[in-house]
Amino acid sequence: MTTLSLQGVSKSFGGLRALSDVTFSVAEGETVGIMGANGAGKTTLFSLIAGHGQPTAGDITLGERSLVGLSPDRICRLGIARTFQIVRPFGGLSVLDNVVVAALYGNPDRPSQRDAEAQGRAALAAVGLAARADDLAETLTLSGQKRLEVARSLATGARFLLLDEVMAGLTPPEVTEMLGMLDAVRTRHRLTLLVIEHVMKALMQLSDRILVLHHGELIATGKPADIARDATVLRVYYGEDA
Amino acid sequence: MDVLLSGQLLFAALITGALYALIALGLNLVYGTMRLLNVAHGDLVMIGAYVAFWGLTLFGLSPIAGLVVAAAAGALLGWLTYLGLFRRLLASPQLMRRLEGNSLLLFFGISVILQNLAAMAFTASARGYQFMDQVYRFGDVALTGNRIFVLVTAVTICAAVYLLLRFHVFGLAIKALIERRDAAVIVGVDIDRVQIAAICLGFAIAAIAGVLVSTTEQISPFMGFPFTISAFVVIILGGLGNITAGLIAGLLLGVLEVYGVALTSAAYRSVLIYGVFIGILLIRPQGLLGRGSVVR
Amino acid sequence: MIAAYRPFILPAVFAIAGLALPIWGSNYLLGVGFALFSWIALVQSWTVLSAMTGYVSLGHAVFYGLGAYVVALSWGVVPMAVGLLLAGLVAGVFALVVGMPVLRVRGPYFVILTFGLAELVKYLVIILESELGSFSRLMFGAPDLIWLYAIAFALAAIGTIGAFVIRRSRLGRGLLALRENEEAAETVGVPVNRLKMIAFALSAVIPGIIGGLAAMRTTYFEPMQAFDPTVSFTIVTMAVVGGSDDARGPLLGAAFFTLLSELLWARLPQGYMVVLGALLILFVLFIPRGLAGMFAGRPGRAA
Repeated sequence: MTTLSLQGVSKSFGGLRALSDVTFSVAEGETVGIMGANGAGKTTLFSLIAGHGQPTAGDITLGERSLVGLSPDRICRLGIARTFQIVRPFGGLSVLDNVVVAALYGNPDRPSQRDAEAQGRAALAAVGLAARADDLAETLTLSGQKRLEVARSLATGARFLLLDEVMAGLTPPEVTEMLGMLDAVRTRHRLTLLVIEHVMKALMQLSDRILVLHHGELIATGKPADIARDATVLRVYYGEDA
Repeated sequence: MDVLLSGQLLFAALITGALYALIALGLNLVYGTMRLLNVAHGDLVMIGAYVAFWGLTLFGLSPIAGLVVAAAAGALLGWLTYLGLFRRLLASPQLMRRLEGNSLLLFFGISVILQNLAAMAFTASARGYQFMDQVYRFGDVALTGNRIFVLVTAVTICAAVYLLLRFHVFGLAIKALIERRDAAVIVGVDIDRVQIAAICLGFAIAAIAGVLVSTTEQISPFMGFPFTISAFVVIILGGLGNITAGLIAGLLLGVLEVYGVALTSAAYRSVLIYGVFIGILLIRPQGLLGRGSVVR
Repeated sequence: MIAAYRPFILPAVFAIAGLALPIWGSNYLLGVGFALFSWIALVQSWTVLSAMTGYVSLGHAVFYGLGAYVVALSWGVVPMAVGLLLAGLVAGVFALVVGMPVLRVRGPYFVILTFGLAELVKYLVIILESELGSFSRLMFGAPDLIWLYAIAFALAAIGTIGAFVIRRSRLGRGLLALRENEEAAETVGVPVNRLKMIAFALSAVIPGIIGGLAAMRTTYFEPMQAFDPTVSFTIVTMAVVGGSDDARGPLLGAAFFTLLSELLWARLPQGYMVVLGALLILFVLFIPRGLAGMFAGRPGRAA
């Protein structure tokens, strides 16, 4: 059982405190949702976990091993993959090539090109993009590109997926579709998900547990239903008169 | 050691610095408003130099009048370049995206064309002329009239442009555009007109600098390149788009170069300039006086 | 069936022409061939860095010049073959050494940085040479043109095959990904810094050797010539005009300009440069995939 753990993580950018003393753990197989207003520090959290930048204090561990100071590509091979708030596909490459490179490099046991292609195709099938394999990634719709990012993460063989606002910009039917796909994928591959989301319905539905960030601090954690009723959360979101 | 402390060297540094500040000012205006790295900038200096040369040789035009003619020529070139090339580039984000690093190649191509056309038209050999070369003495400093002319003109123009940017509405518009392009659009700045003004001004300044250079140095079709490099060093030193810092940085580079050469030898001039250039890009690409990061 | 072999037709034509050329024997043609294959080798190497990673180098003359310098310095001290190998080695090592800081700079700043680097090295060598008391170095007893030609041809072949192979290899896929989006590539496991360095070093070795060959051809070394920025500029123009999407583009680009140069250079060297500049602009603006791209079918991205 590998647990992803954050202990006392803080991050400052010059005078700006993005994260303050954040501590939590994510057990294998869980889906943990993260919510908070814009600027609450959610994406910073993901960046630190994924290795883009280092915490100014605190530690991030995967199992026994500390992730702080490791390069992003190393962290990926340790089993953590992320998607981006604003999609970053390899636009000029084909959809298939997008996932193949992830399979080639993201896997700690360097697969051959042929195996990587097979893994890539499997990942595409899992997200429903198999038919678009030979199209240029930049020709996909937003929904397609978001699914491609998930496929890319899957192709690396990572067991921990950091999904950053993967529903943003999707229409309600697309959201439902994405939810279904994520649910199927995490069950089949036994994934652990860390999900940042503003679309509440999706967040509540997907998560086993929810963390609430506000101004860089963790102000509440608990089951979705409890969080929806939590006094602190309500006060922060709706103001004093809630 | 005496040489280092001499007034003579100080003035040489000031004159060189003022010239660098002037040339870089032109580049900064173009870059700041349009984010286009025009590596053909030094060739505008070359064109200004030839305007002065031919003006004097063919028409007996004094370089002082040559300043005006060159400025007009520069402005015209800027206007034409804007209409013919820049406007199309700026209007099409997909073209810009496709160009990416290649937009630099575009200007490099222009530079090569300008240099070689000039070489074909004027032959590659260096030329020069006499102008105001009587010597004036101030204490133990001896300066020829043309060098004083260069210093005075360069400083005047830098000051004038600085004041324009600071106090005139149009100058404010330019600064707004440099600072926050999208915000400038929203508050109603006429982007097109301001850009044209900026580029005409920028090109005219470069041409004027060329006239100044021609009064003291020999000119040739390939003289522009070192000025392009120096201009880039200056604007990177000062932080891209930062006009005031650019002026200071120009002076700084002039000082660095003149004193550096005095400490070592003339052969080190290029090494110094390129060394600073690379050093800045590697160590602090946002400039000594700049903030923020170099955008990709 | 035939279609699968189509991409190989052009390289095959070049290979056959290259092998057959010495048979006709004319020294003039051999010289042109030497130039052609030298450029092919240079451009193919350049594409390994600039086309595949998107880090466009406008300073490749630095490797060329360093190679020439190594050969000039080691002349008579080591066998010529060793000198050539050393040239490539030194160029590659130099790339590794400067690569770290240099590859951290992105976009157009990388482009002017490489240019500045080449010029800096040039002027440093000039100072070094003058300290050593030499203003140009002569190399007596250089091999016959036929041998230089053969090596240039071999390097062109290696460069072309190498570019082809790399593009399809694991390394190539990583490079192409980092070109598209460096940060995203890192998050899928691509060790971007290491790959950039490898590409940079690989792109330097053959140009180093070609520089050495060029020195042997002219039998003298002079820094302003060896580190001439025109070399950098010509490489880039050949790549842009020929196209750098695959290994055929450089063949076309090199052939086109070698031919053009033969027609114009002797009589109108500046006219040739004007044409070079104009074509660069034309292709950058309107034909980003180059000549090869115009004939290729599959959609792809320009360099």
